[in-house]
Amino acid sequence: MSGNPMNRRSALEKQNHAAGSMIELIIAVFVFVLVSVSCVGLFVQSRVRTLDSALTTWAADEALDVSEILRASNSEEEFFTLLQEAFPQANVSGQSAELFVDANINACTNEENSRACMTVQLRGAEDGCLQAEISATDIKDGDLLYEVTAKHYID
Amino acid sequence: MKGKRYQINSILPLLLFCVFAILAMTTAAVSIHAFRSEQTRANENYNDRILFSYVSQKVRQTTGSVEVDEVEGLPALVLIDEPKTEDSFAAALSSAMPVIMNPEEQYITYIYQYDGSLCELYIRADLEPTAEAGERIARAGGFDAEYLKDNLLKLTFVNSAGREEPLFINVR
Repeated sequence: MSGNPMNRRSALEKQNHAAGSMIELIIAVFVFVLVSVSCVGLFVQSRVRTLDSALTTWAADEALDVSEILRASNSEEEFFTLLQEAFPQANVSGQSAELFVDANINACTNEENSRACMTVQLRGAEDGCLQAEISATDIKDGDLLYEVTAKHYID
Repeated sequence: MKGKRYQINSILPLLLFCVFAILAMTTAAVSIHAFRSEQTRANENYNDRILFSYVSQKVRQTTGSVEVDEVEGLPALVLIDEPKTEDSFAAALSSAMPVIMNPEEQYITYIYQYDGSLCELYIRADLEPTAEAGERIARAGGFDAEYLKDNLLKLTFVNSAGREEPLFINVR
């Protein structure tokens, strides 16, 4: 039976067909893996950019809030009292204050587990002018997110 | 032996195809989830920006006083404008459309959260505000307003994700 040339040819054709399908599949899987890797890379990049954008927005918003608090204050003490009331998790020490947030933009009390930090440095009330240097930094890569100087002339 | 080889030859491509299909579906599912979460975050961010900009602009444009009150028990920001008798545009508008606007009458803007949205109601001062009558500005899960100091207003928005976002405004 196995010696029949017709049967042998048919078996050979079947084997070739299976090998062909296998190669096709391997090529398809390879192409798929290549495309998936680039897609995953793009999604990771997109996520990083969204987080960066959220951090920058947070920094701009908080800087604006701190500026408004400064404009509503009539003395250094009042500024820090209002700042502490507005941001209960802020660390106020001397003439400066620090605000920390984690990667989900939730306020933290310390640097541990935090992703970004906003520093407020008050430059005295000389000449009747309260001046605050506000800067926000990305703790992970040390990038400056936002920086602004707010001034308020006391009435 | 020959039969076994034949079985392996047909099972292996099938197995490979199954792995391929599972991987494809997993990647598609992960991608869809990642895209949706990024999209939701971006939308929330955009919605928050609209709320912040709109309300702070409204407060700054107010010619009269800014107060904190209630509309049918809901916390509301009350923006009271001075009568626009000196305003030539308002006078021209009122002469053209006297039914719509009388410059000597006082108008009040109420901003409050109602039915999942931040609403604005612009009505004559002598009328009683109703929450339903307001115009929807943007999506908001909650809203609160309070004065931390006589000139420092704190507005708290709750966005659609349930996150509280404060906004401070120095009211002059």
